[in-house]
Amino acid sequence: MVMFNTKKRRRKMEMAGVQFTKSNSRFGDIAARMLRNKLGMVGLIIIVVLLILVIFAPLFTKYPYFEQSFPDRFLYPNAEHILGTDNFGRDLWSRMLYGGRISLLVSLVALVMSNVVGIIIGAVSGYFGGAVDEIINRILDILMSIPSMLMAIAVAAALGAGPVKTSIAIAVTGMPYGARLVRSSVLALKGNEFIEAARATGSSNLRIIFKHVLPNTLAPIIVNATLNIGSNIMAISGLSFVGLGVQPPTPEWGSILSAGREFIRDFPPIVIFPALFIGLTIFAINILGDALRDALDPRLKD
Amino acid sequence: MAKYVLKRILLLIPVLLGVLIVVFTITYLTPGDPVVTILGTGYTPEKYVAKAAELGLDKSYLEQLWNYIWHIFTRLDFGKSYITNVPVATELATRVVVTAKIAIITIIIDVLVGVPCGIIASTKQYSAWDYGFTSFALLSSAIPSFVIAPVFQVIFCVKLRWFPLAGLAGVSSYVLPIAVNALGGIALITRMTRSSMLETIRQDYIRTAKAKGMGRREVVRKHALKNALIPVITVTGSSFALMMGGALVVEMIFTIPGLGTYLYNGITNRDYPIINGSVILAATIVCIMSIVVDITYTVVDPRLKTQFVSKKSGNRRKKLAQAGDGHV
Repeated sequence: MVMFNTKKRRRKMEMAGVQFTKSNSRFGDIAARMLRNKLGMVGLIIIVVLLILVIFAPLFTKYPYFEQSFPDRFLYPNAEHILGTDNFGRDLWSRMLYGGRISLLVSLVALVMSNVVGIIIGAVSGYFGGAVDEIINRILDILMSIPSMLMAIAVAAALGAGPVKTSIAIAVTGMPYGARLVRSSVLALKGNEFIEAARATGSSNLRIIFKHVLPNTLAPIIVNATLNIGSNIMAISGLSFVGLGVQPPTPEWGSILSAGREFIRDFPPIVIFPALFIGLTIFAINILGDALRDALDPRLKD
Repeated sequence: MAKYVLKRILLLIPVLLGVLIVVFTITYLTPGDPVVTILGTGYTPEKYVAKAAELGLDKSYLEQLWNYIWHIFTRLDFGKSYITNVPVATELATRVVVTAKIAIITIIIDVLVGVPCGIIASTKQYSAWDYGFTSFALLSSAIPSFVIAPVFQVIFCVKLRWFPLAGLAGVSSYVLPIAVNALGGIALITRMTRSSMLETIRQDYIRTAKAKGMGRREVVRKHALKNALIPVITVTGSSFALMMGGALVVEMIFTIPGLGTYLYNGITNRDYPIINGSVILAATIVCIMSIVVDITYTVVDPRLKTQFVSKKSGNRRKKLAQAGDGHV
């Protein structure tokens, strides 16, 4: 219905002589700025490669991640096993790939959940102001005064372990920060004339929020979301590490790392490879996020 | 100023009350029966009822919540551990000292290293120093502490045998935990100092100071740094607060008897009074640190004092600042 309306409106406006090239050129600008940023492109390439490896994991490894083989325990990297094997003789390379699926998926699900809820709460709070804003803000204050890792631990301890519950725990933790960000953007936008114009033409509050306010707050939301993927991966791994996240035998970078910790003295690869994957992913996401921020809003650049 | 501090301290109470309610509710909704946890498997129904009554678990949610809050506010009583039966408050009090020691030394190192690195990186932007410091900051913020800590253990404890692997015995056992903690903090403070300094250096008054013939060092120290410090103080305060409450992984890896290991024990045994107590203590520290940070602002930048003292203009400025950092 909304789509239909938009199309109709657009057609009408096009007939009236309005040209719709502006948004395209803006996107082109952003893409051009993005492409110029070498460090950011490195980050993007690393992430794309990782995603391909993780999504098409069966193509890149011949061992199932759960296949145990007693004689092949603690093998150092060799031609058969690219990254070696773990304490059960399982191929580390395939555990990394399948583990990445869980790590990335859980962090993305958590990201979507926390952002959807955060955006709605933040937009409502910033747009309506007054008592609603005051109440929501006090609640956010309370949630934000609990350190995020501890909040995640408390929620995860209550919900129990497992991929879905972990993503909920992480989403609950991240929500207030997204809400604050959207709220402050909305506050800054609210006074603008185009909002007043929309109201004058009889748009409903809902329409103004979703059609006029939120699209204009996208830049900080996207940047924040990108950087959040990295911090989510770190949080998931951290939770798995203390035994609250994803439980073995499900492979997840953090849980592989923590399970391997007891063998670190005699067989370092079991810890080093998951560490490398976690570090590389977060590094790539951080530099990509910084590049995105610079590209989306040159004024924010340091 | 005293009035402002008092007001902030009074405002702490509702926030902490909210934290108590949130934390208690999370545990209350948790499936699993603490009475079963305590009694184990072989218990009679009479024993069960008696234990539940002793813990107050037979009461309604509101009554339990009220009791929990009342005990904390009147006697600082966070309940007893389900497993060891030791009061959570006593354990927290002895362990907070250990964690505080490490956190204080770490934060001092963070500032002493991070701020100069940030200044050098910003005053020599695009130099080798700048690239070196920024890439170090990027890298170390990408590696979580639970990765760095085991790697350090292997290198310095197993291979080189410089420091003890775990536990707290003598000065040398503090070195690695502090180093692991400090790495992330240094990265954060370097990044923050750099970006804030870069912003300040482009201001008109810096050009004026240079134009009137002031030396480079003096411009940086007297004009740029002082104005660039505010965001640095913010991150310093919050990372100190985080370390006080959340150095869980590092403490666990190096088996340091601090708040982090306590919380970890609580998690592994599903010992909810411990988890709740630790989270509440951490939140309290975060809140107190935010007051300390705000007071430090006025020391560094006396202009802010007027903002804090008169409430109206303060609110307006705060709103402006919030509006300012979110524009698109």
